[in-house]
Amino acid sequence: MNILGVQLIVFVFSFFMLYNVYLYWKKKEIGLKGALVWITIWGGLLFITFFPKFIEPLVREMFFVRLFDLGNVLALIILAYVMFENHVRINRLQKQLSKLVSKMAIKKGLKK
Amino acid sequence: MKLAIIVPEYNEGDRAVETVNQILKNTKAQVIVVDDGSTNGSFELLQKKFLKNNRVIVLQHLVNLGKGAAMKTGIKMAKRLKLDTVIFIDADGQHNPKHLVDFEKALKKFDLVFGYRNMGAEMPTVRKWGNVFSINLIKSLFKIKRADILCGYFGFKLVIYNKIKWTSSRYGVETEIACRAGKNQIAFSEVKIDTIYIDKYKGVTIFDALKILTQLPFWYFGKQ
Repeated sequence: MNILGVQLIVFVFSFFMLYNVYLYWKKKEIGLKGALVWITIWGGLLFITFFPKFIEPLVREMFFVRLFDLGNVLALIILAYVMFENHVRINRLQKQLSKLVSKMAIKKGLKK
Repeated sequence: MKLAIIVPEYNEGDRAVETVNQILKNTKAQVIVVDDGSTNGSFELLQKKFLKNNRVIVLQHLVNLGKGAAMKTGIKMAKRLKLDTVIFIDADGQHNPKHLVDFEKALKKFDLVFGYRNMGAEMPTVRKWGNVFSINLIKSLFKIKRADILCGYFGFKLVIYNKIKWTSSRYGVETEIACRAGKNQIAFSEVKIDTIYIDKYKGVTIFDALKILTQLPFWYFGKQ
């Protein structure tokens, strides 16, 4: 079986990411649900890279010429979603942090 | 009029102490200094210098949140102290406290008073042109004619706070307030202040100005 360059890159990167997911799950920085979602994403990518025929009917059905094109579109969609989610969460955290820091400053100031 | 002078401060050290001393000489109002998470011991210095002075309250943000956030903390404190009018002055020595008297006089007649600097030779060219561009842009969008849009020396009565309440936590606060004042058509007055530039590399940079520009549509179409 010949392995293409792109398959090799995806293989190495997916395993690296799966290992990261495992580490973060062990450190309890992500929960079981989060870990399973990420394992499905990276495991799924790994599976599709080595068994592309599995989803070829879907690729044809969606009028993509190559599986790679579908991969690109999906990657962009996921990236856009993650960016949006991060933006919302960072904003929320920033507001909460501002409120807390301000409240603490006033509380301490009133003690004078 | 129960007045508070709010001084947002970040890493200004001795300059902030000198500014507060000058403020105390020029007004009888309550002074609220908000240290925005200084990393060079400015808060400790200010606290030590004004610990026994009842007219000065030094507040500390444990982390740096930006000038806009520090100003909001100052306002919250003023409200807790049941004060009804505030004047903001920078701690870096670029705003001369001798003008506080003029602000106090103007605030007796108007709810909102802005400071403006002479855009002569004292102002760096890039800032001057940036200011002129902003003045005209804001004038056409928000129907407010200001003489100096980037001046952070201003005051208002707290009754109008909800109308001009800003969302910017960093630079852009002054521009946002001018935009909101224009949008709500709040009558204002302007007081001429000295043009002092101590540190050319501080203040609004070109990148900050670009970020402010991206906020304009939000201020224009936003609720307030």
